[in-house]
Amino acid sequence: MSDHKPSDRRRSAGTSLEPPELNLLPFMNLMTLLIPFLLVSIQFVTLAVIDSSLPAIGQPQPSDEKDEDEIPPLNLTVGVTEDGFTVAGSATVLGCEKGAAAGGPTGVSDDKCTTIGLNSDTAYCADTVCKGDDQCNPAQETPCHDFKALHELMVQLKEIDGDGDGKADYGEACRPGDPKPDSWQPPETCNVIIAPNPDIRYHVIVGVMDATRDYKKDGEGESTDLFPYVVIAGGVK
Amino acid sequence: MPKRRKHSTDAKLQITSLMDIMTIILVFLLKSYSTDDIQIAPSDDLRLPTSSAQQAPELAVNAVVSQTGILVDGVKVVDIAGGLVDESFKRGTLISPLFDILKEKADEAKAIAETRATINFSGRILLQCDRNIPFSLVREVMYTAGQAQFAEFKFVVYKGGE
Repeated sequence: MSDHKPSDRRRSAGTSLEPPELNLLPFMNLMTLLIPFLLVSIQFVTLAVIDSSLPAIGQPQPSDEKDEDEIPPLNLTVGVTEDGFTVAGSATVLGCEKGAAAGGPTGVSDDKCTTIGLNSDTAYCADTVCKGDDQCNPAQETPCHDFKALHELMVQLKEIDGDGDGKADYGEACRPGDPKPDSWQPPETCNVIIAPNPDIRYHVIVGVMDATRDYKKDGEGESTDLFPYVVIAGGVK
Repeated sequence: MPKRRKHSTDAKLQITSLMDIMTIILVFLLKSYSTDDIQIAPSDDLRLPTSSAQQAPELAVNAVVSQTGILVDGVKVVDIAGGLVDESFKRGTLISPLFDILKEKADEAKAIAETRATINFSGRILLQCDRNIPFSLVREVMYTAGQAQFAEFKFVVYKGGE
């Protein structure tokens, strides 16, 4: 039988009751190596891309039997000029009337469509045009293109129900379901043709693409597509 | 006289607090670690527009249209002055030097696509354009790329806002 109890052993071996200290030095070495490495690969800006494709060249698909009730194709076109936007399309909400050249009544011009003028609110222009550009002078940019009004028109257009069947005429889903069917093509109602004038600056075109892409309904986290497929055309001039 | 406490001979550094800082920094840096396929070199000549687009960029031929020149994959192709390419470099709307280099890239990509069944030539091109260049120049670049069989444009923008 031993003279010492096990509890005595610890006290007799060490002099203090302090917990043993962890050796953190190897971990510190690791940190000092990792931090400079991560610092150089740090990302200050995040990038994104906007898709666009060239218009397909070729004969238009012959449409088979045309339904009388069928909704006419939308053919949404946003012309961008120095004076604002001209929104053209077949939807009645745009106020487009077909003139004689297009088989409509005589005396109506072909391009009588919705126009959106410039916005002369300096605060609005500073917020939209100068966003992310520190060399931009808001006073110089006023009046600017009214993206907000364009966006509102697009939302309205996506939600109209001209034939009264309780469904939005142009409300087709713009993305394929999962899994994507092999022959899936984006519906025509998800396209927008942007036709800027030669002197329009690039960021305005990006602004138009933003205004026509998607929108968030109140209280919904996910955004809903408006017209995400962009085709850039030569311009109205 | 009180007994003087004997000083310990091995001085110990108190590392624990430093460790705390390091751990926080490490987590922060890991969070902002860049895994993007494409890299941009921002300068005064190239300020990309800000957009609410959410789509992530993918690897493709990279064309930069800045205030001073057009670069393809980091190599300067043609100069720009006042938002215009000099007429001597153009054939109508086509920018000849840009066409030549893009054609070369397209041919290379097609040659690779022929040897491997899994790779297809997509005709994808990343366009990094300065926010203030006029549309006429963007159109010329797009037209030239289209002629060189790059028809799928990806406009690179800064992700901002929403």
